[in-house]
Amino acid sequence: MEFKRVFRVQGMDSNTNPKFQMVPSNSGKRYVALRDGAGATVISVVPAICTIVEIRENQLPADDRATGAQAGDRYFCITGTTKGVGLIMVTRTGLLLPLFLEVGVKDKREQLVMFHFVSDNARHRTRRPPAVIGQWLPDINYIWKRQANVVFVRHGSQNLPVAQNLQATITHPEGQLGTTGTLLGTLGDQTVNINVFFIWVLQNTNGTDTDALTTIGTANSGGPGICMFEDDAGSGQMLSFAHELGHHMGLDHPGHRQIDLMWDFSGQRGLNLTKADVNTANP
Amino acid sequence: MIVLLASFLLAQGAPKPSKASEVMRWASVAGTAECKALAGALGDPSYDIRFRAASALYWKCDRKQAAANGGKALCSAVERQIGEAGAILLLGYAAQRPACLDGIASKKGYVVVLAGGGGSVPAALASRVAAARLDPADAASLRSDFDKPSLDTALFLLKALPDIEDRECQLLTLHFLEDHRDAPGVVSSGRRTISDIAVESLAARFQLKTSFATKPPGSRYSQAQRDEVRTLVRSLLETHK
Repeated sequence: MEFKRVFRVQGMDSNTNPKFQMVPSNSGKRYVALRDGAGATVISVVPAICTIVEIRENQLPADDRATGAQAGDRYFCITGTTKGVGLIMVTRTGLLLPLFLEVGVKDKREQLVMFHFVSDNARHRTRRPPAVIGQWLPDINYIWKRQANVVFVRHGSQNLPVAQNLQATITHPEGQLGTTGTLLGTLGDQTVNINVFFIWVLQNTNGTDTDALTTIGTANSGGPGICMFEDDAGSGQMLSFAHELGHHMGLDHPGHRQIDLMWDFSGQRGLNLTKADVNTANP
Repeated sequence: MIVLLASFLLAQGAPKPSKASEVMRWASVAGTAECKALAGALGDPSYDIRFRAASALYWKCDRKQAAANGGKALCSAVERQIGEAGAILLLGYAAQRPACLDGIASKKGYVVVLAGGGGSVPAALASRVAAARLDPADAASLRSDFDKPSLDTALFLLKALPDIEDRECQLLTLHFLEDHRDAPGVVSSGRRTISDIAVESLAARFQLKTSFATKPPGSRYSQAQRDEVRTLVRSLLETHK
């Protein structure tokens, strides 16, 4: 007997024990399936945090179904009530130990994002079109809201002419923002959570290419984080941008698998957030 | 036409900034009035606003004053399970031990984060830091957190070092100078270790006059530099016994 995901990208981490499900507070809903659960009793241990009701498969909302559903799966709707950690407990006669599902009920967190399209006085400018924001944000929020109840809000976007020559290649020392990154940070909007600077070319001073550079864990520092994102940032750039926002939310690379958003390598990563990611981005 | 349009816009008034943006503006100024306003925002119905206000109060305002301004609203925000560790750490600056401090450890699954990287930690850890600040007798339980800490606990203790007054805990922090576990950098490119973060945290906490620069943060430090920090901290703590 085990819990299975019903939909993709809905905040279930099946690699933890017990499995973990994020559910938004204030009547947010998530759906789970119970496999081989005939005759079992399913309850919410802390109904003040979340409630659970069994539904028929045809009552599931239209959404992106996960593969692997089987005949006999039982379907449940979990409703988040108040922020906290809940527990779904499954018992059955003859079952020695109950089966649990940990439920993280999360209030919504918003992050205000200001986008800057940078140019300098030596005719270097980003080639990235402003339309990219409208293309990316829905997908960014598909990843972040559904899994962690974190919403990125476009605070604004603007061309940012810098009255100095930032050079054809903007460089940063290993592990640091560098002078240009620091300068751009001072030119950003101080009333947002993160300033995103679209620039032309970014490179480590040791000669290796850097697709993007973001301050780590600045989401709750009381001031804005900084993200520099170059024009030729490899493939899967929307995912790379979602990944960079993860750094701003405090996430790091180690311990992640290729299906995860926080996997190191551009063009290879997935969009999964782990329980640890969710609890760090939206504790 | 332009005059007409301008007068129409003036009549409408400038667009009102969102509450979130306003809180961020208060944080960016962080003067006396702004810090009071931030303390007021701790009672906002929106979790997001409470979270922002608590972060800004902890990082941008005078902590003692923030605790005084926050008062009951700070306790209320903590009891409603705020994710900002700073809200709990601010309780350690209260004039009297806040009643809400003792209930934190009993809340199962209550986790918090502190800006700067590192994963979430139990809220009880933050409450032990606050309790130790309020009453030296409570420092004993905090000292045990320095015994083989997880990566996230170690990072948290280093970031919360400015809030730790217990001399024994401060000395225990020196162990992190030889902790070579992989740790987040200041930016997404480049790795470093807990020992590097310890150098910067200790230098900042004790305002050390080191022979090398620790700013801008994000560097790697040599054994000799770590030894220098250790010696400086030891002599400082022993001088002020």
